[in-house]
Amino acid sequence: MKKITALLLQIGALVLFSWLGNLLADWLHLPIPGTLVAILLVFALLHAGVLKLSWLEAGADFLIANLVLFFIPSAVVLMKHTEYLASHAVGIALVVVLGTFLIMALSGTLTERLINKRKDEEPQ
Amino acid sequence: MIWVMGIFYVLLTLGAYLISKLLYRKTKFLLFTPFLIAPLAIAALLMSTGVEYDTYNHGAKVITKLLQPATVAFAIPLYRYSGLLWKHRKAMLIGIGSGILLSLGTTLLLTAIAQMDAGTVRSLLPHSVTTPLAMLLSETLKGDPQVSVLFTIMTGIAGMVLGPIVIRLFRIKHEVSKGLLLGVGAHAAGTAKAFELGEQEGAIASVVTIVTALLTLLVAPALVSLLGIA
Repeated sequence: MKKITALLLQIGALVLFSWLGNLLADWLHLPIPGTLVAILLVFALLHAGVLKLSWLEAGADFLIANLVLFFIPSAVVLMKHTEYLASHAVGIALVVVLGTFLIMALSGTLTERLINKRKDEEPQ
Repeated sequence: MIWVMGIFYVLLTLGAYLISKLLYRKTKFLLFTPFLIAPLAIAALLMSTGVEYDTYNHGAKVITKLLQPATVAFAIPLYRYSGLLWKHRKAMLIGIGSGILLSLGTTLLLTAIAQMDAGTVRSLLPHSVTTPLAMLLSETLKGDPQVSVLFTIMTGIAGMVLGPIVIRLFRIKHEVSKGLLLGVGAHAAGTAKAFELGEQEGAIASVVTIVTALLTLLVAPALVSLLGIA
């Protein structure tokens, strides 16, 4: 029971921070989204030692572990556009499937090479 | 009565998510990834019972509201692995740059092959960018932001399925490269997949998602006006 209360409190704190981030971005007319402001704010507070990792980490880990859930209602929107998608199916499939495959394959292998090269150069 | 149905749609979404998660965990079959199966199952159910998407989303959007605090939660793994991120900043920046250029390049090339109209091309260009910024970019490029959201979601689903295949096929071993390819190719959905692989992969992917979005926002409009796609 205590664990669940702590979890809910921590999630509540993250909700509060995201609200604060939006507020700050709005107030200061920042060109970046409020969520990014909130990430930077929490990061800075952790770094400065004002916030302790243990105050937020259970809630953060829980939300991150279930990230996909929060995308599902937006993904159901596909049903509204079945005709459009069907009429553009080939092009969309090429860009979305083949394109994404190529992006991942190239950027992944390139980064892997760069990291291995650096490892080889580092003195053991 | 409306709020009762609202609760029903929230529970329906939760149920579809939990069942698909269990199914995926038991079978480990990539096409059973919850981000593919759950929305399809819900859409099929709604369409067969004649319920409009907007009616469903009126209730289910409560769940979407948690996306923002869940994204803020990225600050914690970022803080935990800031040393790792800093150490590989150069390799990551090159990897991200190549991913962005390839995303814009393949979109232009493949849409030309498929002979798609300019409007669809402009709406497809932001497809590797995380949703809120993809909408912004689509607007800048004079695409249709609503259509861009659609492509962004489809890219996320494709990336969650393709990411692990790419990692196996090209024998990607390092957690930085794994996180990077998922973040640069499939934004926040890829990041969710990266967190499944490991915390470090997830931290990398979340940074990569953000940097990819911001850099694409800078590069894409210039490229489009340079190539004269208007």
